[in-house]
Amino acid sequence: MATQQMLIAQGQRAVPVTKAKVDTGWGWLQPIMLFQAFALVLVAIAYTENKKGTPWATGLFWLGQVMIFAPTAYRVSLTAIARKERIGLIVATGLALYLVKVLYTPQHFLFHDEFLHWRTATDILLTGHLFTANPILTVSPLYPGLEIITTAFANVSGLTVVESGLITLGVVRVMFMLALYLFYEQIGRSAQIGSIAALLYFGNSNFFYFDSQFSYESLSLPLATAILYIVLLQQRARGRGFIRLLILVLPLIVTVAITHHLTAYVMAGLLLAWSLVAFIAPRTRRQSLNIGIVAILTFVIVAAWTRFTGNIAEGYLLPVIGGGIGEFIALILNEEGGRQLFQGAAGLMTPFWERIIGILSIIFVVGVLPFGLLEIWHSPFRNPVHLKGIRVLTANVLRAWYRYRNNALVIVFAGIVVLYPIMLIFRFTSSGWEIANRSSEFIFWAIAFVLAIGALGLRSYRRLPPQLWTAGFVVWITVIFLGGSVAGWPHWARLPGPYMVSADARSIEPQGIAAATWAGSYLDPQDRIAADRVNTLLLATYGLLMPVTHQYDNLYISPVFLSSQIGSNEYDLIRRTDLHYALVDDRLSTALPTVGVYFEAGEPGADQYIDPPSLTNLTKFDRMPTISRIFDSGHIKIYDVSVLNRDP
Amino acid sequence: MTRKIADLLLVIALTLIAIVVILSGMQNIVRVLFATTLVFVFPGYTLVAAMFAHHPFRMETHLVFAIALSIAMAVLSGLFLHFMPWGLRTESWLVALASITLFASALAIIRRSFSPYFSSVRLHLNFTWPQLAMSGLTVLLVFIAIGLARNGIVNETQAGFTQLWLLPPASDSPDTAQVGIRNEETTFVSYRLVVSDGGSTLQNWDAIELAPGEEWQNQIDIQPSDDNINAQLYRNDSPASVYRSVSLALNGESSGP
Repeated sequence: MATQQMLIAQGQRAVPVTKAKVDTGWGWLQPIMLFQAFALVLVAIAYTENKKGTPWATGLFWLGQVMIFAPTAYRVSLTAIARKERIGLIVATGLALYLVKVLYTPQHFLFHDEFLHWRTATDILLTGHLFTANPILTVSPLYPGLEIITTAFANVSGLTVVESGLITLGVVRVMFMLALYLFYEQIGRSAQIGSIAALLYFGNSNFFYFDSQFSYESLSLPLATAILYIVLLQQRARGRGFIRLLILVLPLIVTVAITHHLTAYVMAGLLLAWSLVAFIAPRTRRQSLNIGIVAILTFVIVAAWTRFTGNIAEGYLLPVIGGGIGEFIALILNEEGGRQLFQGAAGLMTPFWERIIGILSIIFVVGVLPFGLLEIWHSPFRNPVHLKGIRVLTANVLRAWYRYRNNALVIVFAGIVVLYPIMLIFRFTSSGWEIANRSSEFIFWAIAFVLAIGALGLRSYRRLPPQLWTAGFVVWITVIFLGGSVAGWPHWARLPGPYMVSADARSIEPQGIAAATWAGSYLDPQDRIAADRVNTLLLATYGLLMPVTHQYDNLYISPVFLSSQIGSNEYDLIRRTDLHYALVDDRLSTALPTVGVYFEAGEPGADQYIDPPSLTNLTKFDRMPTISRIFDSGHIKIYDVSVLNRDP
Repeated sequence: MTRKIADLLLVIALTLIAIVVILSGMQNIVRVLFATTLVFVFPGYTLVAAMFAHHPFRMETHLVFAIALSIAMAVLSGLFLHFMPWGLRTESWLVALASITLFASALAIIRRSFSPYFSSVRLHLNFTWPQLAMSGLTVLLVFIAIGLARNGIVNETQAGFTQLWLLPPASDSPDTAQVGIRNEETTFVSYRLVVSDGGSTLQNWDAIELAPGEEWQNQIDIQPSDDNINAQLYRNDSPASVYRSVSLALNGESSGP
C-alpha cells in the first residue's frame, strides 16, 4: 500500500519509514464493536435518567460518545492494520452513532424536521400517489425521494412509516460510511487516509443528529457522496468504460435532484468547479472532459427538476441565504452586534465545558488545515533544487506526491477549505448561523480530507515519537468530533427530558399527541385549524389535518393567539385562512420559547420575546360567548372559531 | 459455470420467495428481512452485476453501488408508478422491484456466462469462532440498549390527563350533540359529568368509571331554545372542583368589526 511503503520527503532529504508488518485479519474490529455496543447501553441509560432529571445523565451520554469514537480513532491512526478492519471500523462507528439517535426515540419521530417528512410519507401511503400538499413543509412533496423509498419499504415490509424510516436510514448509513471511506481512499490512494478522513467527516456539526433524522438530506448526502466516488472512479476506470459508469451514476443524480434541493445544487456546483479546475490546471486537462459531461448532465437534471417544482425551493432557501449575508455584511461593517454564541433564544447557556470543547474543536481544525494545504501545494516538482533532491525517491513516493497536485478534486477541496473561516464568522449572525450550520456537511467533504493529510503530514514533519503522535491524534480527532456534536445541536435537545416550552423534541409529550389524535378522529380534515409550533406538527401528522402555516398560507397566525382581543387584524387573519378551529396550549404562558418562536420562524416578535404571553390573552376565547370550547384536556383546549369567519 | 452465477441464482430464488412471503400477508421479521433485501439490495446488486459483468468491483464497492442504485431505482419506479392508475401500492411495488431484479439477473447471467474474465464470485470474510461470538454479543447488547430506551419511554413519568369533548350537532342529526370522555390518567378514575344549558341541568352522570385508556361517549338532546350548552367534568375523588369544562355556543353570530 502506498502509505505503508511511503518514504517521507522533508526538504531535500528522503526519510525512510520502517516498513511495518501489516495485519491482514479483522484485527480489533469485533472487540471494538462489542465495546461500542456497551457504550450504546450507557447512552440508553443516560437518556432514561435524563428524563428523571438525574444530574449525571449528560456526563454518561458524553462518555458513551467517547467510548464509541475514540477506539476507532486509535486503530485507524495505526499504519499496520488491514484495509478490511478500517472499513469495518468506519461502518461500525457510523452505525453506532446512528443508533445513538435511534435510541433517543426508538418508537416515534421526535425531531422537528422528521414530522415534516412524516406527513409527506403518510400522504403517499394513504393516497398511493405523490405531490399531495403538505401544509407544514410545502417543498417536501416536491422532493419526495426519501418518502418514496420509505413508503416502498413500508408497503413491502408491512411496517409503519416510523419503523420503515428508521430501517431505511440505517441501510443508507451503511452505504454512506462505505462510500465515504472509498471516496477518500480513492482520492488519497491510501487506506489510512481513507479511514482517517472518513472519521474526521464525523466531526461536521450536522453528522450526529441532523443527518441522522428522517429528513431528505439524510438520504441525499450519502447518495451525493456515492456519486462523487463514482466520478472519481471513472477517472481511473480500467476496462469498465466511461459510458457504463455514466449509466450507473445517472439514476443516482436524478434521485438526488428529486430528493433534496440544497444537496443537488451543491453537488452540481462542486462537479462544475471540479471540471473547470481540471480543465484549467496543468496535467489534469484530460480528466476534465468526463467530469464536465457529468457536471453538465447534473446541472441540466437539477435545473429541470427545479423547474418542474415551480422553483419552490427558491422561496424556501433565498430568505435564509439573503438574511444571513445581509447580517454578515452588517456585522463586518459594525452596523449591528453579532449573535451571542452558545446562547439560545430563551437565554439558555451551553454548559461551560461544552463551550470549551466547541472552541477547542475549531482551533484544532483551523490549526491543522494549513498543514493539509501545505501537503497539497508543496510539490517537489515546482522547485528544480527539490527536483534534484528527489531523484533518489522510489516510484511509490513520486506517486504519493503526484496524487494531490495532479488531482483536480483535491485542488477544489483546497479552495473549499478557505470557506471554513468565513463560515465561522457567519456563526456570529442569527440568520447566517443557519447557513454556516447547513453548509458544514458539504464543506467537510473537503475539510476532512485536507485535515487527514495534514495530520499525517505532521507526523512526518515533526518526527514525533509514534506513541505521542498517536495519543495526540486520538485526543485531537475526538475533540473535533465532540465539538461538531456540540455546535450542531442545542444542548437542551441532545437528550430527551422533561417538557419545555416551544422546544421541539422536548415539547412533544402524550397530551399533545392525544389531542392531535383526537382532532384527527373527530374533526373534518378539510377544516383549517391553527396552533402553536409544536402542536401544529402533531396536528399535521398524528391528526392529518391542515394546520395554518406561513409557508402554506403566506401569513402569520400568531396574533390570533397572542393578542389581548380579536381586533380587525385578527378577524382578517381568521377570514383569510378560513380558520375553523384554534388549539390553545396554556403552557406557552409559562416560559419564553426555547427556539425563539412560539408559532413559526419570522412571526411578529420572533427571537425578541421578553415575557411569555399572558394566560389571559391565550384564553380570551373563553370570554367570547359566541365561541365554543369543544375540547379540554387540561393544558390543551380546542375552540370552534368558525363564527368569527363569517361575515358580520 | 454455476460458480460464475451462484450469487445471481441465489438472488432470483430469494426474490421469488420474497414475493410469496409478502403476498401471503404475514407480519413478522421474516417478511421484514425479505423486504429489506428486495428494496435495498437486489435491484442494485443485479444491475451492477449486469453492467460490469466482465470487470466486477470489489465487494465493498459493489455493496455501495448495490444499495445506492437500489434506492435510485425504487425512487424512479415510484415516480413512474405515480403516473400509473394503480399508484404506489404493495402489489405495484412488488411487480416493479421484482421485475427490475429478475430482468437484471437474467442479463447478468447471460453476460457473465460469456465473459472470459469473470471466473467466480468471491466473498472472503474469514471470521473465527471468537469473532462470531463477539459479533453475536454485540447484537445482543444493541437490542438491550434499544429495549432500555423503549422501556424508558414507556415508563416516562408524565402526569396523566383526561380528555373531555362536546361536539356540535352534525347535519344529519341536528338535535343531538355528542359528549365524550377519555381517561389518559395513570389510574382508574371515577367521574361525574354535568351538562347544563347555563341555568338548568340537562343531564347528569354521577359515576362514569373508566380505566386508563378507556373512553365513554353519549348523546345530548338539544332544544331549539338552547343558546348555550356547558359540560363540566368532576373527579369523584375531588368533587368540589371542576376538572374539565367544555361548552357549545348554539346559534352563534359573528361579532366582527
